Amino acid sequence: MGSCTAQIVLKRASSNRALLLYFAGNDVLKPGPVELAAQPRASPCQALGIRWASCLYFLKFPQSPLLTYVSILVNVVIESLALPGAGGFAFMALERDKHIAERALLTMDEAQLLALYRSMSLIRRFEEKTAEMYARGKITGFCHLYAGEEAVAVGAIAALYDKDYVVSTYREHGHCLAKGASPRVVMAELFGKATGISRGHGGSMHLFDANLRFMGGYAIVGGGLPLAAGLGLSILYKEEPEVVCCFFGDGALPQGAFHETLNLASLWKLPVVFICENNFYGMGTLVQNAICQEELYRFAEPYKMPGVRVDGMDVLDVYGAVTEAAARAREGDGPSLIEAVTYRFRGHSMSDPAEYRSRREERIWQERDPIKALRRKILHDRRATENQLNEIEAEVAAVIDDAVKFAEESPEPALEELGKHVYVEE
Amino acid sequence: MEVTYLTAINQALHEEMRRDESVFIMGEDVAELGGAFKVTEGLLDAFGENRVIDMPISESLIVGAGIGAAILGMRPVVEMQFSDFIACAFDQIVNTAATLRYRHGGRAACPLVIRSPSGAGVHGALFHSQNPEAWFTRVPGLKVVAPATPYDAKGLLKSAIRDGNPVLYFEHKRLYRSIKEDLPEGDFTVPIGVAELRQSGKDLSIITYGGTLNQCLDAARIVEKEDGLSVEVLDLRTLLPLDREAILATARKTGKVLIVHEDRVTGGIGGEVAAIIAENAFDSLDAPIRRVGAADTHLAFSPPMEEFILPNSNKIVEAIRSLAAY
Ligand SMILES: Cc1ncc(C[n+]2csc(CCOP(=O)(O)OP(=O)(O)O)c2C)c(N)n1
Ligand SMILES: [Mg+2]
Repeated sequence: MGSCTAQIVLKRASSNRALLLYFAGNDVLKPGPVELAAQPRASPCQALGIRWASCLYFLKFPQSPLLTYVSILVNVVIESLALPGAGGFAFMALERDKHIAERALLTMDEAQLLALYRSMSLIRRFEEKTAEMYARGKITGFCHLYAGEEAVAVGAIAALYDKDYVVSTYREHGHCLAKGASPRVVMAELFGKATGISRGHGGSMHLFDANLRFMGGYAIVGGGLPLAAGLGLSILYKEEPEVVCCFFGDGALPQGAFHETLNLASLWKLPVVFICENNFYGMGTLVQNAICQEELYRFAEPYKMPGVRVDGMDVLDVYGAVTEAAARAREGDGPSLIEAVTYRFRGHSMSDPAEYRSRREERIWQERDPIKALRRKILHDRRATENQLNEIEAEVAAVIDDAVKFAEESPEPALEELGKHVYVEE
Repeated sequence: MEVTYLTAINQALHEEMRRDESVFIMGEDVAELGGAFKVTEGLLDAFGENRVIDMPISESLIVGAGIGAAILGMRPVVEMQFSDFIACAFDQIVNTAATLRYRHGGRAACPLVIRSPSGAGVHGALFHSQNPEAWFTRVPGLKVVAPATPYDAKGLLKSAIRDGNPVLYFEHKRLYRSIKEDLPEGDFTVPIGVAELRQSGKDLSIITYGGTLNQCLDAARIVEKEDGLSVEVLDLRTLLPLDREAILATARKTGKVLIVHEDRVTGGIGGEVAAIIAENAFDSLDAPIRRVGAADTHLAFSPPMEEFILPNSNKIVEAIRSLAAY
């Protein structure tokens, strides 16, 4: 039992600005008395009643010139458990006007909202089944699940046209499904079957479908970024009104490829939307132990492009930000960097028990489940009935069961194929 | 005490760090997590975060920073989490580390060790399965080792750390927990550049290293039992510099040579071994030199396909029989 001081710097707080504070790392938050130390601007927070049971705080500041461009230093003294593992913790301020998300919610029709809900549910169900099949030995190798992060892929890809391109990472089942791949061929790929989206050659980390403009998962961290620049370059060359959406994890930022690509994309105004999925960890390493600037969206500044941090657990917030960035790119105004703050519900890969983070931290984030959040929103605003949503869940479950059956019944790649597909054969 | 290949590596790191304060470790998730495969487990607790350092995902930097520290007399042991990712650090290895001593006229040295898990057989697909040793075995200034037993894993790592040159140390990930051996108490090393005769025989020689040594020994047992063949097995252990004398000695002794490695046949170190024999022991040969290795394609994810691509003891048995019958 130790005592721990967290400093939260609230900057440029103004009216209507939702401020999200995230917590990551050790289990420093414990229910119990919390002392807001007497710092100059602590009172507004106190007035709003911070609940320490949750790591998420929406602080709506009253219109106050005092609060504009004033840094508020809140010293929060928390009783903490000093656990071993990835020392330290992070509070992340999301200084973002959520009016975009709110507007998206208002402007979307029911069908669009339900499509988002379905797409996220489909991915979740797919990943749950994948875990089950892995446990049963049907899927082997290295396999990284996307559960918890669905709002990022779904929100972003919903903001694109079909003709737009997506580049992803090795945690790409979700992006691939959101881009429209059939769960059958994705599951078959995970099984290593001939009917898989990459003919069983690539497996979980190397999904690809040029027809869908899903330009691939990349198992080399940072490996996809330079390709996104090349896609953008050819779009400009062909004068097509298309956009590339390039996903990568926080772990890719220290790679040279990230910096090389952002530099060129900005210099040549390439039509690329860079989306960093900040889930706080690259394997067991916390962002702040790997990256000097943990507000990752700020890497946009030196590369002279807009940078925003969005709530990656809110599909509408992601949707809103990517809509803006894609429009910008399409109009020839160049790339943007979007940092989506999110959380993977499972370990890094199937073999990772995630000992570097606490079960409590995981529970806190599970309360922010993006699918449940959208469900609540839809029901609260009466945009659809509970029945409709349940029907979607049931339909999606059937689709995934069918995908598993398809994968199981599919043939292994023919061994005569050995040596094929290495070169283009005329 | 019986220890696994993985524990042998871990012990070597512990002992060398205790012996020499200039030895330190850098890599991705090597400290808190103890490495993706737990090879560096316990080192953080034993030596603290100044000497066991978690690095960002920046392979080029990890190697480059290692080189910088090595120039100043530190003895960094850096890890590439999978040897496939060593490609990201290629420039630092072949351009900066390998040439360092030469380009400064012998006035500087780079005592750096780059450890990395290589090898297939765990369904890791294209970028978690490679055997990239032969990308480096043609670069003067580097040394390349690939131990096949716990004893060699420990002894070669110690030698690599004590060596004044950049040494690439490829550990086969399939061996980590699958093989065990009784290791002697106390300090011992295995010299770099010296092959080891694992089994002597008179009918033919197998020259191998790393992940395929046990397959070769299995195959030798099978043909001994079923065909009455006496097979000699030479474990190269070091791939750069090659132990030319040991290679030539076995070739001259049996007159028939089969070279086996998990790396692809084309461009694998087997080609160099074959050339050494052909140039220097042609008169002793009773048959063409044969090679067994991975097919010249990529390592597919599909498990049956992967198995089909890789060498195994059946394929080695077949090759032995056809060579013996020549
Ligand atoms: C070049 C390279 N180095 C190391 C790895 C091993 N590795 C795979 S994923 C990973 C962590 C990546 O973290 P992040 O980018 O944050 O993505 P996340 O897993 O959180 O989605 C590491 C170190 C790799 N695949 N490629
Ligand atoms: Mg991450």
